Amino acid sequence: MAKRLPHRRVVIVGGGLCAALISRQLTAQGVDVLVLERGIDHANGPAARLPSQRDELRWAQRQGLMQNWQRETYTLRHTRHEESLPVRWMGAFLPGEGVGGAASHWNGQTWRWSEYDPALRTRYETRYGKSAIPKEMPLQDWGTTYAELEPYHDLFEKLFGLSGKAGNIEGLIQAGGNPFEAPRRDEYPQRPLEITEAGIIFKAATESLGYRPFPGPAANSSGTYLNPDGQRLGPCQYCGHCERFLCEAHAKATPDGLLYPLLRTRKSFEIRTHAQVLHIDYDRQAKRALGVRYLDLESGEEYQQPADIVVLAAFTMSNTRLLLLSGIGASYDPTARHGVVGKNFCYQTQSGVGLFFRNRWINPFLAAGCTLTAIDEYNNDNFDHSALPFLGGANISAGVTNGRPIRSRSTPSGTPRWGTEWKKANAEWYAHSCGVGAQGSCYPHVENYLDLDPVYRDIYGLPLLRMTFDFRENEVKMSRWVTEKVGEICKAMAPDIMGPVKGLQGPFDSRVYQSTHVTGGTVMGADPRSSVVSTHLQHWDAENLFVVGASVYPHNSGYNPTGPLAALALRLGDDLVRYSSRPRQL
Amino acid sequence: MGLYLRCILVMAVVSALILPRAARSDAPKKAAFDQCAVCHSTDGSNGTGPTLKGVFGRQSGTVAGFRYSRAMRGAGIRWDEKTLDQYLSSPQEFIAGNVMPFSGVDDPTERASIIAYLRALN
Ligand SMILES: Cc1cc2nc3c(=O)[nH]c(=O)nc-3n(C[C@H](O)[C@H](O)[C@H](O)COP(=O)(O)OP(=O)(O)OC[C@H]3O[C@@H](n4cnc5c(N)ncnc54)[C@H](O)[C@@H]3O)c2cc1C
Ligand code: HEC
Repeated sequence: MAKRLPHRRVVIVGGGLCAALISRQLTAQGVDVLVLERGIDHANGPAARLPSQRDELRWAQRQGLMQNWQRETYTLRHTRHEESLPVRWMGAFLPGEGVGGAASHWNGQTWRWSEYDPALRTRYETRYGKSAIPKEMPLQDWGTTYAELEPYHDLFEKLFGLSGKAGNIEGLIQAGGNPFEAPRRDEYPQRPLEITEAGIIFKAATESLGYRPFPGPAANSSGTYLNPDGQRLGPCQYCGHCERFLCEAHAKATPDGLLYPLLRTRKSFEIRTHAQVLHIDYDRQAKRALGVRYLDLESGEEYQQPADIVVLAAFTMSNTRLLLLSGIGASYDPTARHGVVGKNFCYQTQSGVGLFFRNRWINPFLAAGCTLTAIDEYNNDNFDHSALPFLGGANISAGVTNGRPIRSRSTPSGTPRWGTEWKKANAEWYAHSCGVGAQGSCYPHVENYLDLDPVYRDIYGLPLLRMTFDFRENEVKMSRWVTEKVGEICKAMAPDIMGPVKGLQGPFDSRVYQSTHVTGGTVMGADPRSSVVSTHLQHWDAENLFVVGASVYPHNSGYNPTGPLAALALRLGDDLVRYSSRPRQL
Repeated sequence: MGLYLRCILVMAVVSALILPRAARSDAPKKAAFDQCAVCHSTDGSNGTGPTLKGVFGRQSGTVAGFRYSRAMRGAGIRWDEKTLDQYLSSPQEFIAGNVMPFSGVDDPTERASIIAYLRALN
């Protein structure tokens, strides 16, 4: 029997980025908040200090800060006609675990998406006609606009002290910035990071081809920064240990560095670690969430935590799975094209070309998570698709983010995978290689979705989440086309050796890291027939239940996901202050 | 002119020379210390780094309750103008294996104002 705990005002599932941002807004107004996080607090542990922070084997290869795959994994099949099997060791994407979530060990590339992204369906239909969007691509508008989110983007960027160069200030295009950037009210809080050697070569080549390169927006601090909450960032040391690591120099903006320390000083805030949420208690008649059930992973005790308001902020996969496990909302069925939970599951379409320069010192170890120089001419709908057999596009960049001893081993194709020749090639090329990558959009497909696996269960006896996913025709064609452009840029960079120019090919490979940018499953929208939550992220089947994170995106853009989801979380925090004083359909 | 008056006059001249200068350089001192403040307090509490309250004249690696690296514990340095300047210009060169995640301050004037600021804390 689960032990019943005293009732709370707001309970948030997951102690990552979204939970921290929502809590910041709520506790500023004195609203009672309890955050339940399955992981531990790493802030004073070996991941957060030297020299153990640099243990690549422990944190990166063995995923020391990520979800424990022995306790909970996902099953995968590429089409719904295949049998799904559990992924025993996930490589493709790495959900976080512990205070700060995946955002504690992220790279920090913090984009605002294209101004038209929240109204993408309308954009494509107006530009290319109603028939431009294939029937099997359920693109949908979010029901909110970029303009509504802009103040929250601005707040988030000031809280996280972003380093960058504005490309569009209130409609005026700025030299040196991204001319395709959504209009922003002012400059980035800090100057851009240092440009890398790879960035210098890329910049010259893209400029010679007529493109407009710019430094990527970074949550790695280029200088010393004091945020509006009085929290500090130190200057980045370019150590190349961002992605998959905590930042011991406090130079990477993270929820565990900037937000939770502040929240802990506020009286109405509490976070419980080791709290694995298993279920949302739901009153079907009253259409209300009653609270959550969780397991204390230290004691093995099960608790029932009643709440007035429940917020799911447990990342894409857990958000979707908890709704399915709790039977809230209809599970998406691709045959009948009915149901909403689990639909529009998307990923990111990545490809790249390797380059080797005998006489240029790339020195990849001198880098940060966001040392990238990029162009946006071929991203999303920044170019004309009328004669093209696909929709979407990609951000193209020379991004050197690390030169770590285990991971960063680029050798020219044809090099043996081991032995003397491999060693020689390593010594020859380690300091002289880089890549140009295309990070592309991924649009929904009716056959890509999440549901509960009928066979496999987690360590607690609950059904695993099943991914039915592959890169479909649209993404494969887009990737092929954009990667050709990457190839042209690479030629202009004049390397001594250039790797093959190949777009992304299916099948989706769960072993190879691509990005932790899985989106959808609990999408937002104005129509309850095609969305799980409203434009204010309120569940259509439970007025006091809210969901936030990349799971609410109806599609994935050609950018990393965190900018807009952070803006949505801050806005949700403000919405919940209002809702808490007067509960209603927002 | 009596001695007393002369003294006052001299003091007035001296303070006219010194005070504005002190007031001017006070702000940059603190600004330069901002890059340390993310890890070091000046109020006696330990953070990512040991408190720098009273660091001037202190033996290295001796703040109670702070977990130093073996390198810092064994360094046996007394912090003064010279040692701080050496440490801050290249922390790893000066104390190999210490774990301060900070690569140092290149500009000698900036180092000097940080050190002046630390000294003023005593
Ligand atoms: C290696 C890596 C690099 C990345 N780099 C970038 C980047 O450069 N740019 C970018 O935009 N994005 C990046 N991301 C993605 C970014 O980290 C996420 O978009 C962001 O953290 C999402 O915030 P969130 O609050 O939704 O989820 P998270 O921050 O992951 O927080 C979710 C929390 O919920 C907890 N949780 C899950 N299930 C349960 C449960 N059942 N019970 C209790 N708690 C639960 C988890 O333990 C976790 O702490 C990266 C991610 C990784 C892993
Ligand atoms: C990112 C965190 C960080 C920053 C920034 C930082 N330090 Fe440190 N500092 C540390 C740590 C950690 C130690 C302890 C090192 C060890 O034990 O090896 C330390 C040690 C020291 C010591 C030795 C203290 C003692 O008790 O012996 C001095 C002096 C010092 N730092 C000065 C500075 C100054 C001045 C700056 C700014 C210019 C600075 N530090 C910036 C983290 C930092």
